[in-house]
Amino acid sequence: MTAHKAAFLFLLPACLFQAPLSGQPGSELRLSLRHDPRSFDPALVDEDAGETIRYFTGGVLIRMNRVTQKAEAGLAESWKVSPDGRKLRLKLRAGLRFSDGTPLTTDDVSFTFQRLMDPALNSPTGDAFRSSAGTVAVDIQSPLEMAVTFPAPVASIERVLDQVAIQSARSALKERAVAGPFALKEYKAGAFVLLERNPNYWRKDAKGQRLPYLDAVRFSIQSNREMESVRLRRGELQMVDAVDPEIFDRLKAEPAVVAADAGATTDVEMLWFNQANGAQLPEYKKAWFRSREFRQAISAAINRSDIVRLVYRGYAQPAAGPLPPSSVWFNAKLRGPAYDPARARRWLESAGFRYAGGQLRDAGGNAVVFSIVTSASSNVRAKIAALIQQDLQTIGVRVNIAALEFRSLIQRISETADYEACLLGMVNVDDDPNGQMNVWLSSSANHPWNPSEKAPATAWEAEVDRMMAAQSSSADPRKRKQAFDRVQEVVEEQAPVIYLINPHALVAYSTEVRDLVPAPARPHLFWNIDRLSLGNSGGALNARTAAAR
Amino acid sequence: MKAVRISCLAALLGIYACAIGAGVLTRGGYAQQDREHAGERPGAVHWLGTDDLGRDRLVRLLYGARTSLVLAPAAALLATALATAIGSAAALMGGGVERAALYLTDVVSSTPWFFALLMVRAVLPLNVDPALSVAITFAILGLLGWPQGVRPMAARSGAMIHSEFLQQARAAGIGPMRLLARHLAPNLAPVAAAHFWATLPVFILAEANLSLLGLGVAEPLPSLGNLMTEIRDFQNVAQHPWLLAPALLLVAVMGALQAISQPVRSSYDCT
Amino acid sequence: MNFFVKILWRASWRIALRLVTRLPLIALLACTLLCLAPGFDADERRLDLRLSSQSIAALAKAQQGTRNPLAMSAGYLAAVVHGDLGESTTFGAPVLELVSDRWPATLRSLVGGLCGGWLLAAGTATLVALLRSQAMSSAAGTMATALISVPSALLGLIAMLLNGPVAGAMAVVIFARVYQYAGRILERTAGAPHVVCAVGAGLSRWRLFCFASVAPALPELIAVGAASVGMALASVVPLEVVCDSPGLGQLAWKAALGRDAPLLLFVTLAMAAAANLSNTAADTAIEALARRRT
Repeated sequence: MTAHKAAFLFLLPACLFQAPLSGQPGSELRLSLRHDPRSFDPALVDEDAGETIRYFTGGVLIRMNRVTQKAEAGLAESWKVSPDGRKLRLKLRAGLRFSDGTPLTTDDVSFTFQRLMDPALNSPTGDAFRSSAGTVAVDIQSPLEMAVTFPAPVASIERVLDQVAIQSARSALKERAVAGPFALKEYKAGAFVLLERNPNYWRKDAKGQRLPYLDAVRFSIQSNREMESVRLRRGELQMVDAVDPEIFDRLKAEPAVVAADAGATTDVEMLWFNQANGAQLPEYKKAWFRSREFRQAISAAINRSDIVRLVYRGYAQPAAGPLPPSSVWFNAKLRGPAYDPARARRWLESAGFRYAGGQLRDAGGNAVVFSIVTSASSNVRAKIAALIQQDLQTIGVRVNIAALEFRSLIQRISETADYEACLLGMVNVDDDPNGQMNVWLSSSANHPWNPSEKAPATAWEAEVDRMMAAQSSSADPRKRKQAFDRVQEVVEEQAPVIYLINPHALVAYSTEVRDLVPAPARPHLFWNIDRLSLGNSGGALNARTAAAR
Repeated sequence: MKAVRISCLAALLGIYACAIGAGVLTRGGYAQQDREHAGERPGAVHWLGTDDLGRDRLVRLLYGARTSLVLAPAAALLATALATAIGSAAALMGGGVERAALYLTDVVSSTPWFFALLMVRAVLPLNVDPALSVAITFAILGLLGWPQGVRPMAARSGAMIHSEFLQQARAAGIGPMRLLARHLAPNLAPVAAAHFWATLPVFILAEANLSLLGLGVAEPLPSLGNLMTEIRDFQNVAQHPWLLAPALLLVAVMGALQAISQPVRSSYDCT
Repeated sequence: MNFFVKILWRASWRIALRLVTRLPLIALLACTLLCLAPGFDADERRLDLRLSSQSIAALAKAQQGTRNPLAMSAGYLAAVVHGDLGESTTFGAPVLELVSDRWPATLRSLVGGLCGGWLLAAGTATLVALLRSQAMSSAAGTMATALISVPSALLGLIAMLLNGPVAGAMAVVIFARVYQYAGRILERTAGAPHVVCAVGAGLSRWRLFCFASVAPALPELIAVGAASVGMALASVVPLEVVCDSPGLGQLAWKAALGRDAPLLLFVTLAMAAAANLSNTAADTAIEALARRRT
């Protein structure tokens, strides 16, 4: 960070004497996707690559500003949400058109909602609206005005609408007709995705010039991280997201590259024990994992600062709960994890465990040994697991690490419940608690430690269920915060999930890219893609914005 | 050349002694993390520096060599023995046996064994000892690594059967066992040796790839293969050339083994 | 002429017979392993926190295909016979479309890699055999050993770093392996007592190399040639995956990770057919040579 500050002071005079930069049209932006998009249908997008393409091509009614976290008008000129959170009134901009020239009206918005709400489609975006059974009622008042009534209140509807790309009801091109800044031109599986400027994109800059400035965007399909950084240095790519900490440190020394730490993300690495009823485990192990003291002791014995320092080179922060302290939904009363092996030993002894020759044993005399399963493809998790292994050794617990191929791992944690503890990461698309409904509801298939419970197994899980339902059905942000604060407190007391760290968003981009402001929220780099442009003199400004962060 | 062979033999014995005696020669062990000295360059205390978690690279290299240099030759030997047996049986017996052997070779070499490896991992308990897991991995590699050697072996055996000296030996009344042991086996040795030398490093490296499937060595046990995965970050290697130590050790061991085996091979050359 | 027509006729007949006898068993084995392996009906989408329980249940149901390997392989082969290669579940596109996009890249890598690797290996082996220098032989052996000790993924990365093609990395992989066999075979034939005597008697080394070293070793070299096709096919997957080269190897890897039965079966059978083709060609050539000699 010191280096960044020094860069800032050095570059400040240069920026003061520089003419104000505005976007210049033209040229092709080159970036990479880590794998092929599974679908170009915006309703069916369910992974990173697809979401990136949807962000570039999809026209949305409301767009969240990733830096200010405020909702901005998109295709909708204005909108209003009813106090109960069920009804949305909106007015579209006049003269909207899809990329193929067909007009965009309230009929298309209605078509998009009806399609998303179709239970047979199983759309991840649609499921965000379908918190209860029922259909969506659409009242079209004119080609520009309409009201949408959802079967149940949709909390933070602006955030949800940021993911909904309006599709054409009439165009013969179907999902290829888009209302976002770019449209799909060519896709070669495994090689590249080429987007071209949408000439009918609605937005104009202050001078009245139609956006976007860029003519085209080319995504190479590139899964190799080292190669990605080499290509960035060579100028073959102009942006790289989610850079590995080692590579990030190297890129900081590159003159034509800005390496920026955009701050803590809402992603989190976590560890949990298998408490499933049908778990294929001996009874005594089930008893350990269901013991609150055992879980808290394990949490207290893990040195999170070492994980941050050694695995992430300082580009992460210890996680206090499901969300980082920078989130507005974070409960400031949480004490946060304290590394205290002595306390961990006391907890264990209070729960009936005892030490025999440095090895921890339970009341029945069984040595405390368990395995942690994790994904074999992640080098980072292998290192975290090795650190945890040594940390727990100091409190007499022996850990075996089983790194598994991803599908085998999924089968164990979500189908056969044949594991003891699991180390995985959770990606939060945004920090709204509604996005975590499926983590906390005991009936959910993604309730990590005990999925699809018929009824909450414990009183505290029942309380979490109630609080999550309360926050989801309320449109009052204060009440929602209160309810989710309580959830975070219960989770800290009970430690069903041991939160480890929140990694930072590390990005790198070429100094040619103008007006780029990295954001901690996804997408970190191109959230204002319609205003980005390419030019040779943009470096100073970009370095400044990176340094200021 | 004799001096070269003797020095190779001495070096090899030294490497094996260090690898096998790693527990005695080093303090701490391969898993011990000195977190305050993580990522250090080579120095007086840590001769090859430390890795990201503060583990001594030299200690890990010695333990890794023990894992790989003991188990991989055993696996390569198993694969070579299978290739020799199947290939020579096919050529010597001919007819139905030959057809069956080649059929088996074709089918085995075209089957996606990836899934079989996943099945093995699924059958093993999660708390399996890492040493047992790696031993099973090498055993599987040995059991599946023979098909490539079968055809060259069969071709060599086929050529041998029709050779004049073998016909003379037969005519002289030498029994089949003696024929096999004294005349055929020595002449098949170069092809078998080639298969052995080709599969040995491949197995050492394949073990590292298998750890991507959850088989092979598990943290914190090191092997030459998984120590070499660090080389994949090639930009890092330029700044930290000591990361090449496992690769250099492997090349040195392979080179020494080949140099030592040279006279053995030439003495068999009697065609 | 008649001799070659006969050989060609025999080889085609043999290839057809081999494919008919081998491919069904390979398909059956592949299906059996696929069905029995963990994660056959697991899907990473199930971990998507946005999906409701109903959607996850629907996804799980959609994933549950037949788990009977016999029915699965028979059904697949029957569909292939009718020209239907099925649809890939990972890419959501017809297998035929995916494959037709990618086979040229893989063919280029294979042909380039095999030719390059063999040229390198044959060139080195010829030099070593002609010069009969111990130093040269050791240097070539050490180089092949050093190269075989380098992970093929790393060779792929180096090729990418130098902006080189996948074929370049594959050529190195093939050279290192082929030289282990071909180098030894040629060294042995060139070092045979009668050849050494002839060299001593002043006969042309080049003539001797061609007629006394290469000619008797031809059957073995052809067998190594067939084996090297197998080696190249085996290295296609890691090289294409590391180099992000859109070929069949990369497709096979993604299909395996995604338990994508139609795609995986196609790539497996295509690679098996390619290996069989080269093996049959080699067997026919070896037999033809033997017949000519006798």
